[in-house]
Amino acid sequence: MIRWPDPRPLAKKFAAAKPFRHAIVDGLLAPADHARLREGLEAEPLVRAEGEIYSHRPGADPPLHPALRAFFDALQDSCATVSEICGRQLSWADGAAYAYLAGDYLLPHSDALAELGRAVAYAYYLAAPDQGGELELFECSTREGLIVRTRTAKRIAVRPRRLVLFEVHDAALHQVCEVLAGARHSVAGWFYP
Amino acid sequence: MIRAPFDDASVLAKLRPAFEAQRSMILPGACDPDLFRAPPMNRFFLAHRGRYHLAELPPRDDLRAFAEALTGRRLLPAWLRLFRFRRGCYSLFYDDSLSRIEPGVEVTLDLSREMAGAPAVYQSGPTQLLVVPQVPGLVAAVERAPGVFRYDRYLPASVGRAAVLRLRAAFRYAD
Repeated sequence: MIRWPDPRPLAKKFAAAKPFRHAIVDGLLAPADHARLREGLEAEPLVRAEGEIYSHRPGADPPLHPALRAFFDALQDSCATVSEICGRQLSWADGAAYAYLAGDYLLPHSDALAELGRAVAYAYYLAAPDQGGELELFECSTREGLIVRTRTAKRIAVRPRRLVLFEVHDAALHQVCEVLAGARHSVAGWFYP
Repeated sequence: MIRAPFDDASVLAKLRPAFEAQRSMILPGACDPDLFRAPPMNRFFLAHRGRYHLAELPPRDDLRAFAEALTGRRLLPAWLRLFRFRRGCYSLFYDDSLSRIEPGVEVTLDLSREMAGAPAVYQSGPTQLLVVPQVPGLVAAVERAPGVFRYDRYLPASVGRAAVLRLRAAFRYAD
């Protein structure tokens, strides 16, 4: 199902990426598989959730629809490849489907919670909004261990069939920019050691 | 800035049992945004804390008198800050954690000229304790107990050019 490119050049890109380590893989799924996954998301129950940093519509974790479950199974089977790309041993992954409609967002955060042990985050894009919804990465300046300056360093456009992998640590700040028009559909989660 | 009858200590004393029971109180129409002139403000942005404009102001006796009459406690002013939120602005729990006064009381006056919709939320763990709606003229008094944190919800593009102006006074208990 998943068509990984040669991981060696991807590992070099991942290691060299700024503001923190990340990699972008376009065309991860064949168009027919992507279409099935997209149908799965459209059938998945998504419930609006709003909190301190988010307004969006997550699905169940693990997902309910067979097409989504098949994708997550394929991700589990890809741990060795993702380990090679990201330069650390990963053994399992979780995730859920998400929809962001106009006005939805995910404010800057790091994903790093010691008790959860997340190592590498991923997002696979099923549908791009008409405007907004980019994944924004921040460069952080620290002093005595505290973040004292943050600057937008990179905006990754949402494109169908695109996978983004990025490392998780305290200073790996990122956000999903507000969707201004249309709908942003994705599946996202984390790889764990 | 506090409107009658909420500038009357005897009226606030009657509301005190409700404040003591809820550890908070929301008073719609208790301040007058038309009487307030915003001073020059400084831009603040740290992605993990918030994006807003801020002005540090000298303490105001009328706000302390209001808070003391409502709570029945002697209070010491800790800070008075004016926050302005426009489209794309927010503040997070972490930002609050760096300046919160606890135990104490926080009084917020909504001095906005219009409704933009995004509330301020006080929360303890995953439990929402109080949602302070964004309504011009509204005054909220909240006891800042340990473990209670606040965030100002993100203002989406749909607010257009509207601005949310919140004057916040933090007090610590004097006794």
